[in-house]
Amino acid sequence: MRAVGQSVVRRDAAEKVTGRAVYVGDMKLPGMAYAKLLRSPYARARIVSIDTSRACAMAGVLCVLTSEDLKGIDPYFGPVLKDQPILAAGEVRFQGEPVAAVAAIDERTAAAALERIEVVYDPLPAVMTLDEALAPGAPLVHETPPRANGMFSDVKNLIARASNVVHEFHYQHGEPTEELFQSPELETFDDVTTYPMIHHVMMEPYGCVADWQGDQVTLHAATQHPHPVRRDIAQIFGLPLSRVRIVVPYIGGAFGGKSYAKVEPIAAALSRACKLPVRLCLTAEEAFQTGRKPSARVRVRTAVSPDGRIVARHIEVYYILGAYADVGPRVTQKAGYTALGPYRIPNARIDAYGVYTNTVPAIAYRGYGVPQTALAYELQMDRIARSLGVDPIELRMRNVLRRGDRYTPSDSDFDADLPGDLAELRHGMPERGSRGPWTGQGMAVTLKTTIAPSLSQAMVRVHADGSASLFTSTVEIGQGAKTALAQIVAETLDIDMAKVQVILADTALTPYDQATSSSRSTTLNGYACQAAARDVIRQLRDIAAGSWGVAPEAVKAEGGIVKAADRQMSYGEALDSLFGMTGAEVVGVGTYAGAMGNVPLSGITPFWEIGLVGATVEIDHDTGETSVHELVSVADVGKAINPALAEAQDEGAVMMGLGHALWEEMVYADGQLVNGNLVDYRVARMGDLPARLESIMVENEDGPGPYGAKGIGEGATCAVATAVAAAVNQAAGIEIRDLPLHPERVWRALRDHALTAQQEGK
Amino acid sequence: MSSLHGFDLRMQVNGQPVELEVGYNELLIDVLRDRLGLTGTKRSCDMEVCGVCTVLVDGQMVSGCTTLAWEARGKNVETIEGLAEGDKLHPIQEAFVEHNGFQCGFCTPGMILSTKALLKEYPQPDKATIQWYLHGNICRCTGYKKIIDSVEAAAQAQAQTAGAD
Amino acid sequence: MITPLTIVTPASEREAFEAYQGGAGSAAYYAGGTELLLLMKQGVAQHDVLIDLKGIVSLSGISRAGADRVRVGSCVKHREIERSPLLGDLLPLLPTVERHVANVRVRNAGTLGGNLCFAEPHSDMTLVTLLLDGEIGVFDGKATRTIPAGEFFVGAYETAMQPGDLLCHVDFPVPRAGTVFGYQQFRLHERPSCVVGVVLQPTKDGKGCRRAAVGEGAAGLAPRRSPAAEALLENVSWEEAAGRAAEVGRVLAEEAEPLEDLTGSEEYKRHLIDVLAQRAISETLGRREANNA
Repeated sequence: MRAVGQSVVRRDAAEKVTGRAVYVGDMKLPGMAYAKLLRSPYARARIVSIDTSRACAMAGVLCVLTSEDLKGIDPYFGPVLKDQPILAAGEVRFQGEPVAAVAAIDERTAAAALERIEVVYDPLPAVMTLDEALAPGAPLVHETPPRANGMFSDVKNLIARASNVVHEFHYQHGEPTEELFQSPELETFDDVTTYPMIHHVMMEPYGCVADWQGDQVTLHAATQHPHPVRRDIAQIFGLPLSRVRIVVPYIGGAFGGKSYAKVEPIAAALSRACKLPVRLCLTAEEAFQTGRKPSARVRVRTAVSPDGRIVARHIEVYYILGAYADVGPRVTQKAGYTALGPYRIPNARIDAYGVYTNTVPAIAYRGYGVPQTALAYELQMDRIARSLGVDPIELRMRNVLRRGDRYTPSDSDFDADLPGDLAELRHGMPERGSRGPWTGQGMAVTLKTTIAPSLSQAMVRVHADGSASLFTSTVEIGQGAKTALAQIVAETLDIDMAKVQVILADTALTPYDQATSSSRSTTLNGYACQAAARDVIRQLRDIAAGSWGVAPEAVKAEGGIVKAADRQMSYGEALDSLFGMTGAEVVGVGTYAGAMGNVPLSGITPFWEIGLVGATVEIDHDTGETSVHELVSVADVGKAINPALAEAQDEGAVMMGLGHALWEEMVYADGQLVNGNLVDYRVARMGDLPARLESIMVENEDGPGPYGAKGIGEGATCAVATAVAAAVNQAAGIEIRDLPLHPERVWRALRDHALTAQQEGK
Repeated sequence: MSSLHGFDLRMQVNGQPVELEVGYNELLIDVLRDRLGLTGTKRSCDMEVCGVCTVLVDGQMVSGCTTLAWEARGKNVETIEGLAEGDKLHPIQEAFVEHNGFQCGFCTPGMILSTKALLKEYPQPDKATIQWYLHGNICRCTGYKKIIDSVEAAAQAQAQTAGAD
Repeated sequence: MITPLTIVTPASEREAFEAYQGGAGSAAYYAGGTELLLLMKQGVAQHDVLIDLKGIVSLSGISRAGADRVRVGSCVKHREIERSPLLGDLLPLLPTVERHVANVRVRNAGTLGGNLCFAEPHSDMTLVTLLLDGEIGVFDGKATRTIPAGEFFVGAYETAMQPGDLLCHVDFPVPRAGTVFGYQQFRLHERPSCVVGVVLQPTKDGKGCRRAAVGEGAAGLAPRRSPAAEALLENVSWEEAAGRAAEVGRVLAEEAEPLEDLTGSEEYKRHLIDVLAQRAISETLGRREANNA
């Protein structure tokens, strides 16, 4: 292969190292206005009145919007439920919720105008925690049941109800009865874990330039979802899809956080109101008030046979979704469904709930709900291993799904070689004989479905000189899609990579793609790109066959040339021969369409993404600080289209998860987010890189994507925090079940452990 | 000409003399991005923590987000736009390209300029020195390993060039 | 957003003082700006006039002041301290701690004087100044008076200076040869949440400790030294000093007034002070042994 499997230089390299790469905040359109948002100081309050007159009167202010000004449109959005107002209407539901928006001639004026808007609030009791939200008689975050969006065909059982439980997912197979869990022949383990609110900390906060002209609007948006955002904007403003254009420039990190509409509706509303292009760029602090990972409380009960086989498991998952549902209901059912872990379990029951609270809305986040449940089931696997005196990897070996197994009886066949992956980890992170008294090793293995069903379309134009342009709506968020897709197309067309141009994510030009998310771009969008390239080849062979009077099967396309027996011509010559003049092109289209099926999630996952990480840590037993010495990830990638970029994705996933393990947590006090900035919210720094960070690529070419590729980039994030927690528990002989593992938490666990040991000794 | 709230700022930007009237309250990042169109310098945390707005003032790295343009009087300000010579990338840029020292690219201008300051001060830094010096540059994508690889490669390239002179 | 303002550039301490008095309460001294500009950007502080002190020659530079003192001008940047060979020789605690203050960018801009005036509770340099018996020279419009560091740090963001007072320099007495130090930092975030420093001066015969400085910072409102802990380490042999580390830790922790925040509870921080004190003593003694080796 000439392109695929090569670590070619990134397509965006020169632009990104010279500062020429354009992000939304760098854009300036003629006459552009600048927007700022006024946000609620309360977690929950009734809006008694808003007086914008002083702001409107300010020189340089172009328009001021409140919910009152959005009457002519459908002012609600949300990918699953239309429960989120563009601007708070009547009530605010979290501290930081946008209440009013200003567009002005510059940011300074817009910011000054915010101070002249007078809002009278009547504070209401808020529900900040899961227990508060579920308490009998708790205040309702939404008193009126919200409407469904209809974007997702796989969201089932959306129940309109007046409850803080916005969505439930239940599943069962076998007979996970109470008698089984109580059976004297089995040992039953019962654990509860909690997972905190975590922010994405994408270095580029949210941003959008909206340019409304006449009866159409163009949005230059930092979004992972150009087509779904186009749909949202069209619905909100009552426009045909063809009149809404979403153009995505480079994006400064997303990690799920730039999924679906965020700032785009308000930017569009402002542009429509003041008839000018409007740029709305949030600050990093405002990004903390825009979205976060669903926090969770998970209870897992597992009955195990004496020889270490899981007989039954019941998992109960509560995702805390904040003030608006966003994708929360899908996380609830999708990650709820995989919460059993990558194991053969004959008797299983899942109860998953998504719950509203008066906190920042939970949105998509790398791992999509899996890290939260993995913490529960994998720490418990360790406890089972200790109890049975079995090596933790060996215990997994006995229970993991094999290729061809079914995760649940009615699901599709499992497609990865987990025993092989576990063997890679054992080999890649041998147990250290000389480990000190406060060092420990831990591991975690997880599985995740990808978004299903999903749809990607791509178009390849082969030009008269044999070069080609790929058009598709994948977004370059740093993962290297622009490069990997060029490699796939070059390989399929069998032409030099330098001849392939890639045009991404402009809904006016590039065909439909559902989402740059869920580790799907290289694999599933890549599938569509490959299909488009194959379609071009097929057409070229047909042309040559017609021209030469041979059967199409007799024509081969190789190295930019079509040939049959002793005849050959370039792609361009083939086109000339058809049209009798030069310059013509051939256009190929390709589609990836995921299938619905009679599986529990109704969409059949095209691949199972594996997370497998091992960690070696050392505890400072006096302070509770954790030092991570070694992180090893086994990335079951199917086929690395670009090995260096695949490794880069995996390393990044590991280090992001390290932050989740040790420090990251959004803290609320009295309804206020108190650490929503980068001084007080700690992410992994360069000095935190362990002495050894290793990504082991497993390439079994067993994925559904081009050349056997399957999705990567989320797997390690699902596993690493749990692996670190497991290592800490092993190092210290403690049983921590909550993240993050900040030093005081570890110190307290050590102290309690020592006290217990002392008391038992007496 | 200076007025009550503004003054004539004369400085060099990437070696070119620049003169413009700015407010005393204007920040260096805003003058570079909004007045001079040098948008390679990014803004993120706005609190001197993350390093994406790093620029060099007379070779010293500072946070453009919390430095008054006033401080650039008579000085040479280097931004990411000033490193390459035409299409010829600076050796540090080449090292970042070669070793995939970036993904989304948003922290990259600051990371590269910080590397330039580092290598001027410590031409052959060991890994610990790199980690210490670049502690204030946050990258959320790469996991840092490939950034450190890039910095080490840039140091080597620099040493070879110096050796060849 | 920083509101419109004027910057003035006095050439002398007196001119600076006069500019402050002329500012009708809305002037501020300005040097590095690393703390001040953050507050102004957030709208927490608003000033019509910034008095840029960096052009005042007498506020710059690190130099010997007489035989037994080193003077650090208030506009000396953190990085100058970090990289000063003179301080590395005579007062190595200063550059050692500076290496880990904030980040290189902040240290390139921020000054010692600004840091001390601001008296941010999590500052390292406030504790270091206290441990080294810094004498802070303050110009009050008439004369320059000296405030001992022990009287300077009154509380969080609070010093013994009056409005308009100008911090000119800090004089550090040069400790006698063989003085050793230890400095332990507990830091999760950008700023440390708990620090303990120890400075031990040897007796003439070098066999023991004559004078001790022991203090903690960052955990409470202001840095503080502990005379009781220091007494435990004075006029004792090095072996005895080592043997008293646990007691020093206990005393320091008992006296401390840590505050609960995002980095830990009061109880945990008190424990940390105990742990860090013991480590700082063993670091100090380890350095002595290394020097003698």
